[in-house]
Amino acid sequence: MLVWKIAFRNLYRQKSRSLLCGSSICGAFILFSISLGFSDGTYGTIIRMLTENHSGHVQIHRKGYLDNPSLHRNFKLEGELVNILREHEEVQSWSARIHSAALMFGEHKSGFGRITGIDPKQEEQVTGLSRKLESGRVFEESSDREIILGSRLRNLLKVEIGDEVVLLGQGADGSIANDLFVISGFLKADSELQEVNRAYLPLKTAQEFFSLGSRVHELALHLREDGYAREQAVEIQQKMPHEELEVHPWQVVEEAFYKAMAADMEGNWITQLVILFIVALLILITVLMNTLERQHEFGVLLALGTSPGFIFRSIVLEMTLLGCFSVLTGLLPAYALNWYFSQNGIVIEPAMEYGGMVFDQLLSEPTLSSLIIPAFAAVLTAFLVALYPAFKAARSVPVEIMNQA
Amino acid sequence: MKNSIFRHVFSSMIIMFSCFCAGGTVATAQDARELLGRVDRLYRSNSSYSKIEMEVITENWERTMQMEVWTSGMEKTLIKLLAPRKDKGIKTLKLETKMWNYFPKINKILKVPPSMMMSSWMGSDFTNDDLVRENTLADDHQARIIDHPEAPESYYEIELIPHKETVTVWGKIIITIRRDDLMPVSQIYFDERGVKKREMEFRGFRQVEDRRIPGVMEMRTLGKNSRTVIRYLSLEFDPDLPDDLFSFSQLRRRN
Repeated sequence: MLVWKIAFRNLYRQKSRSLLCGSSICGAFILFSISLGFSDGTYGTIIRMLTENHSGHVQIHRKGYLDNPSLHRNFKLEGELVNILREHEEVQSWSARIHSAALMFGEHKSGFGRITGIDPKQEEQVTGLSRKLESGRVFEESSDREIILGSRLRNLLKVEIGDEVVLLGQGADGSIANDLFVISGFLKADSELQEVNRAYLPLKTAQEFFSLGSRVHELALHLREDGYAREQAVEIQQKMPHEELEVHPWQVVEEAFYKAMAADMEGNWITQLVILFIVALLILITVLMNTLERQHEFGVLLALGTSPGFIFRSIVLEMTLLGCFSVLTGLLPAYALNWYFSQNGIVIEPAMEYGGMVFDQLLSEPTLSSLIIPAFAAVLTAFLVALYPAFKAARSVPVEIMNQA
Repeated sequence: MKNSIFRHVFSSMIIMFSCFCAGGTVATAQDARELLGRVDRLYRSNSSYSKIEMEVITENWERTMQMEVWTSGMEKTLIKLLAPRKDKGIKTLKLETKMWNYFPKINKILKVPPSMMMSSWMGSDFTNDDLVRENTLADDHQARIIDHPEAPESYYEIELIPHKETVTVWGKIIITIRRDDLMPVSQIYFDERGVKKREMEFRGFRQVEDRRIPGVMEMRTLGKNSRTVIRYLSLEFDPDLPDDLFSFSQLRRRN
């Protein structure tokens, strides 16, 4: 216990020295925390944009659809499946979709677009389709003969709201799907890049158009908690009424995007390690200064018969305690700053594109990891960087260091 | 010149065989080219009208269509879908080597581009190219009679290798014909690597006017697990057809 008393006493004895050294550690901790907060915030924003604007957290498909999407890889949206989803507490909402492609003809121009059939009410709950609209409105019923076009299709076909477009595609029964639709709205030009070439049709209309009956290609689920997509996918899979149905979290559905993001995150950790290294250097310099100016004190202690081991332990403990106090002091400001930047992001001009999504603001996220990791790193660094000066002080010859001092 | 309905509707090979069907007296023909040429000359008609049922069966779906087909000479064909209700009124017009589809629901005539010629026609195992091809097997291929591997005494087997200048995706075609009445039995298509890709079977032979024809033809696309069965519900040779039948104005008429 004596070593603890000495360590505490040393910290308290020279308040200004402790304050200066602690401020450095505290500052480094806050800096590291904000850096991690922005990292978590940016990736979190991207994931939310992906899951809440397009994919949902979990998707259900017929086996093999993800690897080889085909008009024929569909499944019937039966009551049993709907009941399972209704009874699963973590599923907040879901949206049934069909996907295909079609040639599109405006009055004078034509082009090729990706077609997605959706139930407007379901889709609103999962991805908030109305938020993505630049103009016009979302069709109200899933049997309306209306269409919403992405910005690129709008420019390509040179059409306006209320105009008619002709769709020509392949029906699931081999027939040539062809029909006229009235444009009810346009998607924002800055919505996800994969949306710009997409056209939305009401689900029942699309099912009729592509001769799919009551079959769908995809069920996109929105979960209450967005961090447990993998676990929920496994749980829902076990409840599936047919073996032919596959349940995948967004990480699998958007595999290419997720892998790119994971690689990017790994790269980001290198940046974080560099920041950590700078923080460690800062703490090392402070600790070194702290111990060097106390050379005389250590010499006296050794001359009085204090064991080198005791001096080593007291210095290491003192610095570790200082690290702990600094982190505790920095917790609140670090959280507050992360929270502030989560509400008031840094605006990016011009907007950036990442994995098909466009975002114009860097946001922080006050996560637990953005506090725990820097806290652990700061204390550990204080402990490690104290080892060398402590070792040096413990191995000193009293006469020499007292003369130097 | 006479002309069989089959040629105009689906492919030159079908045409040739429908000719064969009516040509039961050509039993002594020994040379493949002479045989094909003779058939080509003998069985052309000025015009035809037929009602056809086409059943397409794939591993994912099945569909039965009914259609009316008018032909004039080698160059003109008009097909109009009668059923299913969803597709009723869709028409295909072929003039020489060009082809257009008319969709009444959108009131649009669309030309089939060259890039789509090898695509399926109405989801069947026949391609657009099968419909428009005007060439005859005899003219475009080197033909020779080979021994039928299983029953040479009952069947002729003719091997057709395309000439260098012939534009085709097939590397070889094998035609099997019954020796006794010269009825076609099958026609097998191979790609350039010698892999069997499509197989056509003829059956349901019947008498129509003064000709004997296969009433049912089944085209199987190998490796795709799909087949298309064509059944002739009625067939009329050399009817009087209006002059403007094969025109865009008629194509656009919704009746």
